[in-house]
Amino acid sequence: MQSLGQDNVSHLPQAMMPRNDGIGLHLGWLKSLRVNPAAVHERANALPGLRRLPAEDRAQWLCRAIACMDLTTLSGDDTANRVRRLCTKARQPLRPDLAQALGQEALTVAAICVYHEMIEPARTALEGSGIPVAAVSTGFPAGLSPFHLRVAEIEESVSAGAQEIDIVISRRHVLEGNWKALYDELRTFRDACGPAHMKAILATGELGDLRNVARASLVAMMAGTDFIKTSTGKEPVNATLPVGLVMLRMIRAYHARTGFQVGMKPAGGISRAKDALTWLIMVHEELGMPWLSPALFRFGASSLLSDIEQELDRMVSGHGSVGWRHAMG
Amino acid sequence: MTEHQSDPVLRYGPAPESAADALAWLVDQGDRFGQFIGGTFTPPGDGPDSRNPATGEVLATLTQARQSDVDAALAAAHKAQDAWADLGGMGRARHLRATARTVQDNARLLSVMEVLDSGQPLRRVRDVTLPLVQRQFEYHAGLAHAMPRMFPDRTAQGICALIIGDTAPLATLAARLAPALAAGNTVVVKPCDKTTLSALLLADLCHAAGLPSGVINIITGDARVGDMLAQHEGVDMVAFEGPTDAGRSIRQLTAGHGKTVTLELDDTPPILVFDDADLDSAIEGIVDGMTRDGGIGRARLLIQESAARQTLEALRIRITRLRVGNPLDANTDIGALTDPAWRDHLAALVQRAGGQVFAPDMDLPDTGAFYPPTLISGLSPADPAMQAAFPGPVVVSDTFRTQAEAVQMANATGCGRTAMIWTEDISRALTVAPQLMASLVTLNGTTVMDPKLPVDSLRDSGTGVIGGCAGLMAYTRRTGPRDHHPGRDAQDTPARIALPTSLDAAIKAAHGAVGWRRLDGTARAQALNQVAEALLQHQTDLTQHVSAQEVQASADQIFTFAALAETRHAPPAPSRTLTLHDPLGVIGMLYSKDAKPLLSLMTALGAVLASGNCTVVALSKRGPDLCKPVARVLGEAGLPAGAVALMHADLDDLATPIAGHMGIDAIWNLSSPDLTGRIEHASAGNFKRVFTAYGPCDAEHCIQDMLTAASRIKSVHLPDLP
Repeated sequence: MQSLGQDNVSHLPQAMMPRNDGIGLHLGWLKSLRVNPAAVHERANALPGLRRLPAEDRAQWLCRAIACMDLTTLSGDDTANRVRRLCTKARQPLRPDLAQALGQEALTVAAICVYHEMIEPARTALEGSGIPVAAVSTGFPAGLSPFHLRVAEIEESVSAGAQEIDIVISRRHVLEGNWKALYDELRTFRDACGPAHMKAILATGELGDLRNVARASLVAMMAGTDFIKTSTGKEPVNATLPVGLVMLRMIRAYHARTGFQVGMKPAGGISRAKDALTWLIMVHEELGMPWLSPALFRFGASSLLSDIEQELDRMVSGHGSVGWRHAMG
Repeated sequence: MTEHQSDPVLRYGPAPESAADALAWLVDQGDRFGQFIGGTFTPPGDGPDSRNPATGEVLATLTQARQSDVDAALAAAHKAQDAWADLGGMGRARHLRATARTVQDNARLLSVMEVLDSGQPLRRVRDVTLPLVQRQFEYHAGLAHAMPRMFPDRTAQGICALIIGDTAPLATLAARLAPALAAGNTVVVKPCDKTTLSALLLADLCHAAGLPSGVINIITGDARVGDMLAQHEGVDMVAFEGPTDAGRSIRQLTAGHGKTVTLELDDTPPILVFDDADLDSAIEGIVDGMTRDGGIGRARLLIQESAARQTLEALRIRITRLRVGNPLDANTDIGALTDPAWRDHLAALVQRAGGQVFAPDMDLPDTGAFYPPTLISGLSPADPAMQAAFPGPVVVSDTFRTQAEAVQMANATGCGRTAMIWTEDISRALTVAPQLMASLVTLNGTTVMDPKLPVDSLRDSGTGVIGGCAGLMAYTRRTGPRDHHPGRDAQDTPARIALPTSLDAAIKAAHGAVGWRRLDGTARAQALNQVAEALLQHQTDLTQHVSAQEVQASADQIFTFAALAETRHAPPAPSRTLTLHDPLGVIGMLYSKDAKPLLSLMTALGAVLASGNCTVVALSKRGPDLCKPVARVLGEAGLPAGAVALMHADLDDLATPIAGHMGIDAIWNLSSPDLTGRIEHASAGNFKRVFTAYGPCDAEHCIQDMLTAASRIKSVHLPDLP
């Protein structure tokens, strides 16, 4: 099997790919957006059966899913030790013999995603690995704390060493159709991020319909976000394929008009290897191979890695696998 | 872009489905097939090879059927028919459900056989065709069950000839086989010689699962076999699917036989994309259409100018991502052309087309009949390519400026069956849909075939409804003795009679009466009520010709139709499909009744007008001259000029010109059976609907038949949200 060429991997977008600076707020463009729910669902429903991957290809795709993973813990009972454990797993996501058999010795996850208080232990644990720390911010998950505190939270996290900031938008701006307010909020967040890359969590499960998802995606990109992200993982409905499809199409439209490549991060509810593959195939079909890299695509996941490991183990050993055969995170 | 991003390691790889089981079945049959008659294969003889279009390999050798084979197949079907019909709806439903199960149990085998034989991509056959085939049998099992209650006065036609082309052959066969069997017919199937194997396999599997011998018979060979079958005296009904030219020839061959004929012929469906559409979804829908039915694109893409550049650019990028190749590969989007001869034909058509031709540069397999997805843009309605039926994944496109222009361009074609509209503006969608010359209009989606969705064919796309209760009707006839019919009409060259100038004028007037056709049911009812009242006022005029009772009865009849005009346009049952009853247009009527001439005439006029048609009526010179009094009644009632034109004429002279005139949309022969053969001959080339009623017209069943014959079903379909 060929290797993924891990030597060249760097998790953050490189200089040759210009960072999204954003553009002005184009209300005319927003107004012209149309999304047909039935047609989007029809396409989304066809996706799981669209492509069949032979075993050898499947292994490579699953390794890519790991390389694109933001290994996440966002619980009230997180401790420094718990985060350290996760970071060890992030450096060595596959059992060594398995990684070797797959030619993936250098494979790591894309980032570790934690609350602000856990940035420090994560940074220490990841030292020398090149794996960045991402922090959820701006009053995650509801985003309803005072605005100046939300901005300050970003600045605190960046100075604590977070290289990526996952912010939440004010859903009420979308539901009220107040695009100017949404744009200004996002622009302020983006400025506060400085060199850190911003992922805008749209909380699509709370936006009402797909057209709002499309409009919120576009406003976030206009305001200069580096990624758009589906959900906090705390909404009743998280990353669904129709929502993902609409967001990917907006990324495509934004790229076609501005030349900026914006990344995509589905989060919440993706816990099976086969679901991860469906997402990768969808990204490939809609946006093409350039987006299948950690620079432009992330999974926000906590239990997905375990299922992928078992799947890879089964492929390599030829036997079914169980969780305890793999190191816990 | 980093090196990592263009890393070529991630690929779909070939993921071919195994053909072993399908090939094993062919080997078991000796790789040679005779005819499938009475449940067994006859000894194989000489005939065409059936090839895998993706590789050119011979899959099996078929036998060219001779007249004796056709006779034998019909004899077997005839022998089985009484017992099959006598099973009753419930008994047949049991068999149809068993057939559905057989299809389900053998879905993989049937899929692979269909892929090998027709070149369609596996994914589509597996995920779309096979579930559809299964649903056809399940749905029609339900109809068979319900038939005695729903249609107590209808019975099987007898023996149906199903002549199937090479476009999606298995799905096409099932859409005819299921209703034919449900209604109590036995069938003789003639598949296209390029795509016979899936039909043979299906018949073999059904027979093994307990379907009585002789219910399905299959004869094989080229088009000559189909012709032999269609004109055979033992056939009561012909269901044909194939190219328009072939359909025309089938109609010529059967003219004057008194057989029911349904024809599903070429269609070049318009796809209207407005600038307020979800363009990404529209593009996906267009591509979905390009990759179905063995890559038969044939669609005419009409895009609003303000969205054209963006749509075409996105579409070009999208089709570049399509994967063309081995149809058995689960990752293939577009398989092989069913007929290798199409590749060069297609290349020549595209080369001649003009416009901007875009076809992505892709590696196609060296062997086999493959063609890349192709988009031809910048065409005008006058370009012949806008009308051509491209037998492959080719889409032609043009732009429009306004909604009205979109409708005009969509309807500027000789075809009419399906259409698609992409817009998020609901009032626009519901305004445009009824204006399109199509019987199935899909809003924001790709046309889907569904057993319960009736699809009619208009213009040169054929005749006859497929699907739903309306589709089942063609496979049945009214209980009781058959209409007297003169038998085969030897008159191949109709007598040349100078067209009376008044006929032309009458038809022009009828076409001018657009006001009538636009009236809704309520307005039509009001007009008809006035006609009935005018009849009663003019009793004295009319009683010179007929009795006072007959005038009264005629008025009653018209009152009834007035009521019907309203109820037939009541909103349909709650559904995501809106069913409309569209008028046919101008109906040419040949009228001669000895008994109760006024009553039958008013009944026929009532049915025609209630359904929103205009009519040109030729009243026989042999009967009383009702023209003037009736015309006076209609005029006094305020019926718009041209809605009804009455002529007192010699029907022998008028039959052929009326049947041949392109301005007449349907012909009703309400005179003598002698004229029917001549009408069928003269209208064979233009696919007009012919309706006959030789006796009195006021019987209840005749009224129902006339109402059905006076309108066509149009469905506006909204794809469901899951």
